[in-house]
Amino acid sequence: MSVRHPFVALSLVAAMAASASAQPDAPDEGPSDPVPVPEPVPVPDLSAVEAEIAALKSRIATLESIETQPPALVDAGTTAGVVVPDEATGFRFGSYGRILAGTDLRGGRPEPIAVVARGPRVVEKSYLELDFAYGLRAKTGALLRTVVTLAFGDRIFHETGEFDAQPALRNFFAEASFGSGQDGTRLWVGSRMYRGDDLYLFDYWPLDDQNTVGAGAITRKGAVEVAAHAGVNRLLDDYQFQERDVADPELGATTVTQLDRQRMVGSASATYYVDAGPSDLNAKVKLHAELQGLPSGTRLRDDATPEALPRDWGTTLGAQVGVWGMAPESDGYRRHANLFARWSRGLAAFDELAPPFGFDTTLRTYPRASELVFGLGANWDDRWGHVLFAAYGRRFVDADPNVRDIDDGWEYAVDVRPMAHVHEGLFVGVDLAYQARFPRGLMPSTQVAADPAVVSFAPMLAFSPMGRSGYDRPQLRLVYRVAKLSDGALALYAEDDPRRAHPTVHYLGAQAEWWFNSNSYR
Amino acid sequence: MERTAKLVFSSLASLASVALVAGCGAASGVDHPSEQPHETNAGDDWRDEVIYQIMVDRFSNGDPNNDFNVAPSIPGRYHGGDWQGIIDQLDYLEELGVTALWISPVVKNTEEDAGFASYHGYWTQDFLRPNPHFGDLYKLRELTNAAHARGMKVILDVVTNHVGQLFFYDINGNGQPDDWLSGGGLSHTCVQICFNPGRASECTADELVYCNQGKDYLERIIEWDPEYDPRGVQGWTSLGFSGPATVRFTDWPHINRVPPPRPPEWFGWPDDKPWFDDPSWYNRKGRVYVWWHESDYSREFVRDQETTGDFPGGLKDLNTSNPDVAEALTRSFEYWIEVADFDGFRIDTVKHIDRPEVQPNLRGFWGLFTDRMRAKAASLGKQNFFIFGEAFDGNDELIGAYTKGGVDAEGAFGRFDSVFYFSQKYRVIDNVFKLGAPTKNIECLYNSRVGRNPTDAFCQNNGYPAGPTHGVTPHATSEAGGIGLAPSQVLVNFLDNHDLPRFLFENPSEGSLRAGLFYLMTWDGIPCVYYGTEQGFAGGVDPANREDMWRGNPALGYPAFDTTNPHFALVRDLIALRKARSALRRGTVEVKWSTEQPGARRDAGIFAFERVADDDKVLVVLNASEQDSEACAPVADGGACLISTFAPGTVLRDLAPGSDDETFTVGAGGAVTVRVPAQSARILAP
Repeated sequence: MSVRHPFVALSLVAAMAASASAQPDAPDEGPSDPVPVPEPVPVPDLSAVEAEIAALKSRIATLESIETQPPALVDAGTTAGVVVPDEATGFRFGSYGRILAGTDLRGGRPEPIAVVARGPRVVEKSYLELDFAYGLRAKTGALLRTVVTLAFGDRIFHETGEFDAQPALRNFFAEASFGSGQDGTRLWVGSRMYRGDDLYLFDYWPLDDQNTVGAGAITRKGAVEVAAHAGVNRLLDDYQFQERDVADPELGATTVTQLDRQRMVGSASATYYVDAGPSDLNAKVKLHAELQGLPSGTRLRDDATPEALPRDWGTTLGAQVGVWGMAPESDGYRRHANLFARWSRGLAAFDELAPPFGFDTTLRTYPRASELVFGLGANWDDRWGHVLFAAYGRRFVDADPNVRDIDDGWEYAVDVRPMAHVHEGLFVGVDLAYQARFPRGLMPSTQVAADPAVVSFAPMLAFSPMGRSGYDRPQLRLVYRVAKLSDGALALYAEDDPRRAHPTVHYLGAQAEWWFNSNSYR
Repeated sequence: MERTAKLVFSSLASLASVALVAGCGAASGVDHPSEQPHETNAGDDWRDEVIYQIMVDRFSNGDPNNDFNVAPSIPGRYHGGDWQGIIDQLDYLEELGVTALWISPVVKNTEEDAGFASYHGYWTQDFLRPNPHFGDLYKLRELTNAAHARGMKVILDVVTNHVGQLFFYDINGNGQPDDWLSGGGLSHTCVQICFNPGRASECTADELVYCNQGKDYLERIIEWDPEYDPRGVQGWTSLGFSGPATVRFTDWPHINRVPPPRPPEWFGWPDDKPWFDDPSWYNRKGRVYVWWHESDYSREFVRDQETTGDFPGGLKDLNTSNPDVAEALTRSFEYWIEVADFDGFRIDTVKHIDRPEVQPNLRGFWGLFTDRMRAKAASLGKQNFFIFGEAFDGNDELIGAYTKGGVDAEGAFGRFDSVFYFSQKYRVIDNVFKLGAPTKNIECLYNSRVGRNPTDAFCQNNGYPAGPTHGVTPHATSEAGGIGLAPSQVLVNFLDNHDLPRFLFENPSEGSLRAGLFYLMTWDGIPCVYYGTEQGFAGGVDPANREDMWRGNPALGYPAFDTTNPHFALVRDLIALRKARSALRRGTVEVKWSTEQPGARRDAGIFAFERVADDDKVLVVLNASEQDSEACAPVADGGACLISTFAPGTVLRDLAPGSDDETFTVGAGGAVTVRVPAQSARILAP
């Protein structure tokens, strides 16, 4: 049942109470013949109604304390142990989706532009998640839930004419919940996007973003929540996995696994909540740590000579300060801000879904590779509209012995999207973004130093009828974006890439984005 | 509440602003390698140097991140060595005592051809970008800086004659590179011209020789590498000629066989000028074939092919007589001096450009290029920029012609400060030290070099020219970027290199190697040691002579970069001796004894000479034979012994490594009686 239903119920009940308590006005008449005195009307007993209203308010307050926390993955450990109403049992379908249609005004398909690790998402590739969940209530009161999320990239039949959309299993886990109220424990096993809070405008989870097959536990008692998880992944890249054909003992060849290295990822976090109610300033402080490990192995080169790959490690320490609430629950506003800091070394300095690069002379990333990230994400909703904001700064250094290295250096990005509410569900606004990188080496194509940078300006019209919040969805948009690439940004393209000739890039198109009952966004 | 919330948000926004400002301050501020200071080399003398030749891919692997397309078990493929690896081994090189590192070419190459990879660096695809297999510009500059910090110089290997396998000749016009074009017999030139009565008069005598010799060999034409045609490679089918064959550049990016990209904006090359992706920049005459039957052809025909023909292996010959080509090459390598601070160039395939042996006063490409390199070095504050070339030829006069300057309408111009002493390699290193030829050959060759006009019968009968075969005047002063020394004083002496079997491969003899090393380190000129000599490497022809240094020498049980083995000790000690004695580096040469007779005799294999410097004098008595010998005539011939310029009674101590400091006293008239062990030497000084 949607959490917005209580508002409707409350409104109806309030209206009923208001009408029930209203007294008719006495008519305004002058002196006349005596009028017979009417019989007194019995006053109805409203105590039961008032009690029901009070109970409903309490229940609404409880549920809204979940609603007004920062938009987050429901099942990522930031909220836990809530005794989900029985509405949690049974089948539940959800989705996150975004689809872009448009042109680059040169007759071509619009593409995202990113000179940093996480660029602005005003133009991004289409993407779809389909969430399927089923909940079962055990006699002990525990809730068992299975979650499957199919994810599709931007291979769309109506665009390519090809039936080749291939889904990925992004969630594929089972979870058991115990406890009542806010306190409780959740245990999960499976393949899971295990993430905390994000910077929405960059589609980036700067603190904790694990994508593993593993297990975890989340427990909350009072103001403190603790979570831990351990998982593995094994990319189909000869950095972790290699197969080869060998002679079968009888005839022909058989395929054997030459290299099999699972990356182990373990994480732990502790969060302290200051719950002051939806209308007040709520806050949390979160500490996060990760340990990653990769065992040694041997792969074969093209000439069948063996190459030893050593054991490697990764560590992360991070923290987050978040605030949310600050608005009457009836307003439906979702005001929040999150400040992140993360320091990683070794394997943890790289995206765990891609093989690392820039090894030291022993083919390790630890300890020389490092990543330092600062991030800030915020949303302010108001009666006039909303403002989304995100910014991050990142310093990355790989492990290779080159001091002057194009892979190393600082980068930062900032994006703000103010939207003004002009009519029922209609918003007018703009997305302003800037991204820049400061590599410590020379551009391979030009052999000179340059700092890639992109500034973009994107006025837009949005239809978002579900509310005035920057996080209300679905949302339909009409967007025009112009982006200006610096010489350094253009130099990132290969010499024969036609994009080098276009320092100004346009996008004109329509977009739609939605999420409901989604494991990725709320 | 709302006020509190706004306060919180504005605080966070301020924090974000501070972070962004800090991010602005984190701008890269990267300095370009060309902006780093340049080594002046003021006051240096190249005769003091000992060059060490490094095949970068085979020396040391310091950075595994550039190990793409590496196949260490296949000799003809990349093995992983890089510039970081050389940096890592500078301690080893310093202990060996070498003073100048000659590194293989640094420019981006085509990746591979016919299963072979461009690990050697001689297949240029882009003159302005570094080969990513070895590192980037910063790493290259880090190498030269690190070497300079240890008092070592770095010499770049330069190729200007040709590029890699960037295009093919579409002879039959089908748009694809055919490995086999059937000629229905003899090749197009022979069938259509030489054996065509109507056109036979167009066929030169040399071409007729070619056609008669070719026969079955000419059944097959490869569009990558068709045989040389003085008219240019012609297109043709079974119906006849169709005009010059279309040149087709390949577009195979996965092996980097793509047209050379236009230069970056900073190079300042006009957009309307052609570049290396223009067919007109190449001679397009096909592959040199005369080397295998050289004596059958006229000298003119041979040299014409050598200077305008493609290099075997599909390496396309650049038209260096085109002013734009010359300018592009010159500016490209000016750039490399500036960006990497090299102290000299070793230039590949020198004899395939220009013909100074017949046109000494035609400036040509070398007259332009060498002077411009010196001027560029001088503009950067660099002195003593050393330019030496590889003229792979045993003809002393031919290779020497490249060391002589000329005069044209614009004035005097220079050429190479030096060349590899190939004539010495064949006539001395191989013939004398390996095959036992008379040591008189050494004297004859030296006299030819400096123009002492050898009139004795032995020299004349063995084809030694009167000389001077090499330049006797410096091309430029040190301050002007030159070296201030005559080429004849600084020829680069070597026992072997990457294009020849190792000294120990053919007729392997540790003794002859020992004798050869004594000669190399005591003779005048600049010694050049091919990497691995000090580890006893004994590989045959390419690619077997390009062993991985990091594997050590398994045949002799030497670990990688071993400094305790006798080969290393000998080379190290000889270099140390050379460094300690100015006479051995800069002294004049006066031959005191040589033999004209081969075989066993009292003075078999003896070659003695004095090296005299202002403050030093050394008498070197070499024995190239396999017997103990003396620097004295046989008794039957009078028995006279070597006469030195040392005063009678001078006690000469043997400084040679392993000599036990034996002493010899100069006799009356300066006579020195010294017995030299087989394949060894006495290096005598007071």
